[in-house]
Amino acid sequence: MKKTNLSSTVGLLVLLTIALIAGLVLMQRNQNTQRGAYFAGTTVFLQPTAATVTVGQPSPIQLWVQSGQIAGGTDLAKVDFVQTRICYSGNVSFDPAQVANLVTVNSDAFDTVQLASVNNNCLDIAISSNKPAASLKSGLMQVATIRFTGVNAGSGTFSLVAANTKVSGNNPNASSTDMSLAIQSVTGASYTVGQGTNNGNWDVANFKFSFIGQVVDGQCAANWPISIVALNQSNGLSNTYSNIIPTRDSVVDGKVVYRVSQILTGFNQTSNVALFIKGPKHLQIKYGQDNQTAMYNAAGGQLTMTSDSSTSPMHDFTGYPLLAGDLNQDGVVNGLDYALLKPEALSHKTVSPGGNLDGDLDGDCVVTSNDVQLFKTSLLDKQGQLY
Amino acid sequence: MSMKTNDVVKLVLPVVAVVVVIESVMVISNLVKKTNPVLDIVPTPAAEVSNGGINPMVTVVPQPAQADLVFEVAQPAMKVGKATTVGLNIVAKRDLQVDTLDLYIKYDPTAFDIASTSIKQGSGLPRPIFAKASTKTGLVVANFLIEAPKGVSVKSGAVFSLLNFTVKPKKVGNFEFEIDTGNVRRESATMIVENGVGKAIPYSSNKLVVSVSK
Repeated sequence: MKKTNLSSTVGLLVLLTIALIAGLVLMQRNQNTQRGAYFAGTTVFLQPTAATVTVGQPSPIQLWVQSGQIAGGTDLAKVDFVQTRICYSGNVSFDPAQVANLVTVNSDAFDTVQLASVNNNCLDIAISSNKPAASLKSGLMQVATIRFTGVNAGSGTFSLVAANTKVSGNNPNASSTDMSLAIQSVTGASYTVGQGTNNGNWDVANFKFSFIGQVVDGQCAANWPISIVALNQSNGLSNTYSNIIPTRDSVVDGKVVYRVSQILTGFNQTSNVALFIKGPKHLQIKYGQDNQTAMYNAAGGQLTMTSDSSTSPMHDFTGYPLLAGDLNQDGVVNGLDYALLKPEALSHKTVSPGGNLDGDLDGDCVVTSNDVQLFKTSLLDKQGQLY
Repeated sequence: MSMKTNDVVKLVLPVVAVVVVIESVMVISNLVKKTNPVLDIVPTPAAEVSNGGINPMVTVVPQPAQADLVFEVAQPAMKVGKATTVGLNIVAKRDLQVDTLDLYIKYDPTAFDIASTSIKQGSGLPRPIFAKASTKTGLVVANFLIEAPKGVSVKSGAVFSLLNFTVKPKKVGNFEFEIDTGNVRRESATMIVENGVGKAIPYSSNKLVVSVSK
C-alpha cells in the first residue's frame, strides 16, 4: 500500500515537472504572438504618376499595391485589405456629396468599399476582399479606381499618407497570427488641370472677392474652398458648384484678393444673375451687382455673364468680403459657433502651415482674440442685417 | 526516510501545481487572436459622408427640459402710455455653466414701444454683444458671449435674471410676450449653449400675457 502511494505520488510529481518545463519553454519561445509584427512587406502607390484633367470633368486615378515575399519563404503575400488616406493640394476635389460613387474596386482582387470619406482635402478609403484565401491576389494588383474632378486650372499633387496606410492579408503560416504587411513605401501622383473647352453653352463666372480679416501672409488660408450658387431669379434656375479653390490674385489695401473664373456647367442665363458665395467657415453672401459694398437686399440680381472666359465681365465683390464665423457650417453665426471658437481661442490652438483649425478665421494658423473679434464682427453685421 | 519523502512531496506538489496554472494563464493571455487590422477610422456606410455632405436621416428624440425660461412683470395689467419693465429669468434644473445666450422674444410692435437702449442684462451677465428691439421682425433680440473660461454659473433652482426691458403700451387689448424658437426667422431660435459641451440646453418657457387698458 505504501509502495503504491509512493509510486503514484512520484508519477504525479514527474508529470507536473514536465508540465512546468513545458510551460517555461512556451513562455520563452518566439511565437510571434505580439501585435505589430508583419509577415511581409508591401508598397502602395497611385497610377498614373502624372495625370492631366479638365475643369469640370471627372477623371480616374488608380490605387495599387505590390506585396512582397512572405517572411521565411519565397511566395508573395496575399492581400485582403487596404486602407489609406489620399490628400490633395488644390484645384481638384472629391465631391463629398458624390463620395459613394467615387471609388470602384477592382473586383478581381477586392470586393467591398468599407470606407470612403472626404475631410479637409483628404480622402480616406478602405477596401476589403471577401474571397477565400486561395482566390486572393498577391504581388502587383490594382486595388480601386478613384474619380476626382478638376475644379480650377492649375496643378497639384495627390499624396498618400503612410501613417494612415494599412495593408493586411492571408498569412499561410497557420501558427502565426500576424496578418499585417509592413508599408515599405507609399507614392502619390501629380496632376495638371486644364481649363478645357467650354462647349459654348455655359456661363463663365469671373469675379474677385475677399475673405474678411484674412492675414496677408497667413499660411493656413491657402486653398480655402468656396462654393457658388448661381441664381436667375426670373426663372428660378439655380446651380451649385462646390469645392472651388480660388486663385490668389493680389493684395489691395491690406486685403487679400482672390480671383475665380468658373465655368458654370449647366447654367446659361447671361443676365439678371445673382451669385451666392460661401467660404469654408464663412456665411453665404449674396452678390447681385458689380462693385457691391454691402448686403444686396433685393430680389434677383444684376450680374451679366457670357460663355467666353475672355469676354465674361470680371465682377468685383471685394468691397463686401465674405463674413467669417460659421464654424459648424449650419448657415448661421450664433452661440454654437462661439462654443467651438472659445476653447480654441483660450488655448491659442495652433496648427502647422497649410493645416486647418475651425476657429482660425484669419488664416494665420493660430486661434487668437483676433479670430474672436472677426467672429463678433460677423455676428454684429449679420444681426444688424436681420433685425 | 519515507516519511520525510512524503513530507517533501506534500509540500512540492501544490507549489508546482500553482506554478503550472500561473504559467498557463500567462501563455494564454499572450496569444493574439487572428483578426483584421483595426481601422483607425470607424467605417461608415457608403452613403454617409463627412464634410457637410449628405447625412442619413436622424430621428430627433425630445429631450427633457433642463431649464425654464420665465417671464416676470411687476404688474400684468398695464396702462396705455405707462412704461413697465418686463424681465426674463432662467431657473435651471441642474447646475449649469453657460457660454452663450441667444435670446429672441416675440412681441407685437404695434402694441408696444420698446427702446433698444432699455434692454439691460441681468446682474450676473456681461453686456450683450447685440441687443435690439426689432420692429421689423417683432423680436427683442439679445446675444451674449461669455468670455470667462468656465462661462457663467447658473445654480440649480435659483432664479437667475437674464435681461429686462421697458415696454410702453400703445393700445388697449391683451398681448403676449413669447420666446421664439425659430418661427419668426430660422436664425431667431433662442438658444442657451453650455460651456465645455458646446450644445444647446433643452429648455421650456412660459408665455407672458398682459392686458392693457386706458
